[in-house]
Amino acid sequence: MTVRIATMGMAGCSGCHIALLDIGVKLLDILKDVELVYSYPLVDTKNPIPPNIDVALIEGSIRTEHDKEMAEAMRKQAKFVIAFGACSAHGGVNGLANVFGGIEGVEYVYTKTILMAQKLVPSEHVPQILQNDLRLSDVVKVDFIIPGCPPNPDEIASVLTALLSGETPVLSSKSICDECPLERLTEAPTKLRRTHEVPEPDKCLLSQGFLCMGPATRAGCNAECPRRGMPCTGCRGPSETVWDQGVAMLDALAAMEEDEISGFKLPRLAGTFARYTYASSKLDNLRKGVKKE
Amino acid sequence: MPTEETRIGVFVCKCGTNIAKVVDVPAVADYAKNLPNVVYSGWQLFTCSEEGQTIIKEHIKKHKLNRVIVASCSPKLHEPTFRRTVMEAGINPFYFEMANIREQVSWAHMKQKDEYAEATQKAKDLVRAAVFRASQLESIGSTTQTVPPVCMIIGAGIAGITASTLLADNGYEVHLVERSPALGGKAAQLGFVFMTDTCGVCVPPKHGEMARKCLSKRVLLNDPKIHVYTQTEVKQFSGYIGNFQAKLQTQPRGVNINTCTLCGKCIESCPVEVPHELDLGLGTRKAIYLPFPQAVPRAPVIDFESCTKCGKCAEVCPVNAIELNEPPKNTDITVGTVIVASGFDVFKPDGLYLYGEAPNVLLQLALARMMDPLGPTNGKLQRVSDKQIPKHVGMIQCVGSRDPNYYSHCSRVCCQVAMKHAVYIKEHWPETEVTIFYKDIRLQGKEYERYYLNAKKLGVNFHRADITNVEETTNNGLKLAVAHHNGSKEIVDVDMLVLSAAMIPAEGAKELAHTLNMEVDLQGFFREYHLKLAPVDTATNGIYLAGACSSPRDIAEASFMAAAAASHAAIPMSKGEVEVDLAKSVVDETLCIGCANCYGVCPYSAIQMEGGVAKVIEVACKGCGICVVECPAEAIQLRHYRDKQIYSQIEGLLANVGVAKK
Repeated sequence: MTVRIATMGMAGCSGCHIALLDIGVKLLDILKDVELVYSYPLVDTKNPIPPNIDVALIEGSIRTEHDKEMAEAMRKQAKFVIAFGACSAHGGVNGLANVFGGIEGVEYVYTKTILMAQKLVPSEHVPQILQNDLRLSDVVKVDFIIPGCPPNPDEIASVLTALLSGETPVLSSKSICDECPLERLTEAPTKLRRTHEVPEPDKCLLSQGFLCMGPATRAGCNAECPRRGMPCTGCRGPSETVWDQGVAMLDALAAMEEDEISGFKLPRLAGTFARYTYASSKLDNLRKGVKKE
Repeated sequence: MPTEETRIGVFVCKCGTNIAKVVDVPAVADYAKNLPNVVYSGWQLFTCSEEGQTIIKEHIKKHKLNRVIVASCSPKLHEPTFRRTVMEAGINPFYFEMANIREQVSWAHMKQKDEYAEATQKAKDLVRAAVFRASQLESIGSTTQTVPPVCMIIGAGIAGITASTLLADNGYEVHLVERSPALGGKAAQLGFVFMTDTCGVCVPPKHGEMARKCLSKRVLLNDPKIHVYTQTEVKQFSGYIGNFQAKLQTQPRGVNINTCTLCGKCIESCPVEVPHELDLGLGTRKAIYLPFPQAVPRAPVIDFESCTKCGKCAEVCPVNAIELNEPPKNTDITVGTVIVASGFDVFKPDGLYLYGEAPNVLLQLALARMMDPLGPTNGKLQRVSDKQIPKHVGMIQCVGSRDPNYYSHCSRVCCQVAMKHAVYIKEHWPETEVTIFYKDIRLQGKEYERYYLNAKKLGVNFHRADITNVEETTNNGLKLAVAHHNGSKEIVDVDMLVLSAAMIPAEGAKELAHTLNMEVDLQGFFREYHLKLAPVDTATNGIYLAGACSSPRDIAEASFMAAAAASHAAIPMSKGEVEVDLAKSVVDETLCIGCANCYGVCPYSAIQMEGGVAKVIEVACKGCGICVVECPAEAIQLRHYRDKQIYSQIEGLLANVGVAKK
């Protein structure tokens, strides 16, 4: 029995689709049992969404009325909808636009930045832009997420393989630190360090003062960044038990000296602690507070 | 374990009219009947009364209740009462939940009659929140921790010595740790002390003996229950009540106290002479010296900072007691309880009133040294500059105390000290004039007023005034610009100026607080657990405070407090164990990432890192929840305040407004 799979892209960079292709040779095994019925990057199509889709992978966040319509249309036809990648699962980097007040930020980009010659917010022949960037689950029911920016090809493969064999896929419930080979130091950081500074090799980045989001971030990527000396930026969103990724990391730093963290104003807070999750983060409440002033 | 059906009983209290006057209590009880899992709901006049509690127990039996909610006053007041009630009826005490409809409802709204209907609604909302939470509660047990009858006392001043002798007399073993080379603390410096005008190194009589014990009689050194460590500091400290581990570091004394006969030949032979810190610059000492004539232990000590290691002392010593190359010694001890009696220091008012610049400006403590018959001047009052008896001594009160620029607290003893010295001067050198410049005179202790009356009778001048300027005159006298509080101004000449400087936290108090994980107050004194209800307890179970380390105190108060601390420390030690309920933090080790954030923030040292994960020592944990907030992986939860319990409580609270989602 062939499984009917569809993919779709919203506000995103197609990077998740590239990651899908990046599965490589294994993709051939998967495709044996698959009929790809709808996929804009892979199959050039303007046709309406076909019926009886078994699995739909939806990339990108919901930024326009068109995105929303398409997501709803796909939901109607698909039995199992997967939010594919950070934007779709948590709002993604796009969500940082919400820091600047949704639509106001759009106006700024089209009228104030030098690249925009017409100084005009486009309104004709383009879909209406939404007030805020949304994640997929804000508009339709989502059955599963594959997090990451981009998602890990191995993880995509394992999720698809599980689905094809009728099993329910599972994500790791743990945090990046569980997969990280760096030596844990039993001391909390006392001083923050910038990413360009050189860390001591083989030692936990967070305890050296680098803002590694590992503790609050869902495992599954094999800690590829921290094991190469790059602090985790949290692209896989909150781990199973974490209520809010950014808030959890902020809490974790709350015991540091005030001067170390008082420099974090809202844009930097959001960009650092909720880079991929701001659209779904409780930090968004801060914006409302800030706007009052 | 089969999940039993949740059967909630709700008991709404009228609290006489306290609640019933504002809240329609029967309506709240009726409302609760329809809430999920509630099988009984009713109201009483006084739920906390014996009858009220009996009714709760009857209904537990009748309706097979397994969760009990009382809607009444603050949990701070009666939660323990009702926990005991349900426990007696066979229910785990943590299956009890309280809704505060008195402090948070009836009392908050009692003045606005038009709010009464809304107050009833609010009471219903709070009861509903409690019902939602109750179904998520879990049964929590308790554990015991043995407490060995051993106490470490930090600081051998009047408080530390008092507590040591009391505990030792009660049969407990004491490790008395003192930083300086001699016992006695600041009191030993004082020569004679107020109230009794007796020698400062006296310690209170042992139980049952009326004879006053003097430190010079080696009372402490000979007590088999007391282990004395001089020149010793607590370098590392960890653990919890019943199992505190301390690493003590003892600096070398250079003299074997067991063989030394105190012949004094080494002191005579020593070529190095430096100012004596005990005398605040009034006298000098050798590099090998006896801290003060009555010092205990009875042996000289070598100050290795000024010692040149010339070896002359070793040559003349008839008993070979000198050990010039002794290394520091480390001792590890395990104790059940700790009393901190690390005392205070005197504020050094450098730059104020020419202190440190003019020779005849000195601290009350230096004057006390002068008054000591065995002190640097053998009890004689004299000017530092020319050794003449001063004709006019001025004293300035509240130097650094009650001063927003320095310390805002009142140092409590300076009025007495000034009075004591003024009276002493007038009694011994009647022709010397004494003038005290004060802001307020505060003499509140037993017998203190007598000093004041005596001082006035002897002709001591009291001026309520500020000193706006001090200038040194040609013969090292001092010209004071006095601004009286009544508005008049004058210039007063004195030969000697004595400053009543503030009592401040002891040097190193901050480091000690850090080592022992104790809190400090705004002034830097150690913080007691509760100013009124637990003044000798600290936030850490098993650590107690005595003496001036928590606030300025005089000797009498330090003695009271030492006795209180000794009796508090004796409670767990005499029982031999402490019972601890387990409503504490708990780590999910599969989620813990070993970042040690919790370890770093825990104010009670209740978390240890073991094998890369955090481990909660339940005996030490107070359930404050800081670690829960701080955990980036959300691997720590509080047993009685799990997220799901709090969320369901919020859900219950908001169920009526339809905004709760989670």
